[in-house]
Amino acid sequence: MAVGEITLVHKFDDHNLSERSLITAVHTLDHNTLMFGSFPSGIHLVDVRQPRGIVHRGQLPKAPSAAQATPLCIASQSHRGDEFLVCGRFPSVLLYDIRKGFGACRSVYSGATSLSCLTMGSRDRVIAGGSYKGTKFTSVSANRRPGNH
Amino acid sequence: MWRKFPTEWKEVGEIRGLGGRESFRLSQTNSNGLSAAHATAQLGYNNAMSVGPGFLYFGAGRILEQVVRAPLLTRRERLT
Repeated sequence: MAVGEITLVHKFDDHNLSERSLITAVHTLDHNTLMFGSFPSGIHLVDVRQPRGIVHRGQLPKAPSAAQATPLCIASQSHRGDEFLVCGRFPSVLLYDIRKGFGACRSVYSGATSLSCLTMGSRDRVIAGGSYKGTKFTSVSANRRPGNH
Repeated sequence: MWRKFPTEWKEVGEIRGLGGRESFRLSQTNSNGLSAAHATAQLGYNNAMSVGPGFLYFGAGRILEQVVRAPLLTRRERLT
């Protein structure tokens, strides 16, 4: 039960589109910055100090055969205020730097069909969980340096 | 869908899809004190919530909302 003052931050108003956006992941980057992901493949940056809320938005990269790249989890490290990680219904963990926008990102391929959650295991290690060809697995540990698994 | 009751766990409904609907209650503060509100929202994603000191953000369906915790009343305020 939530007790307090409720404020609307954002509402998708896309009734006419064939694919309606749905919020799938939310992450607070710092006390002024909020990230959230949306179906089918949206990523959004919110500055809570701004009246309009969303200040930048983008689309996660999709494979040509994939209908969606829905983000399911966003995570970051406290000492890296400009970077965040995204995983979801795609096989890679994506690393974004907000200073460079959402047009480019680095990625670590996990081999999984879909990743539903991730967390920072240590300073340079990510732990993600998801499914691999229908089999659930609990963790995949990946060094954050690109190319390492 | 399972819920914990005082004496046992019970299955209260089948999960028919990932994009289900669930009702929850919100208590909001107003000038007259606390008032209860009942809301129905579409839930389906485990990580569509972020909690911070005194606030939380949660996304349900097409809506993203912020809840700021009401300030705790002091003992004197509660008594008056």
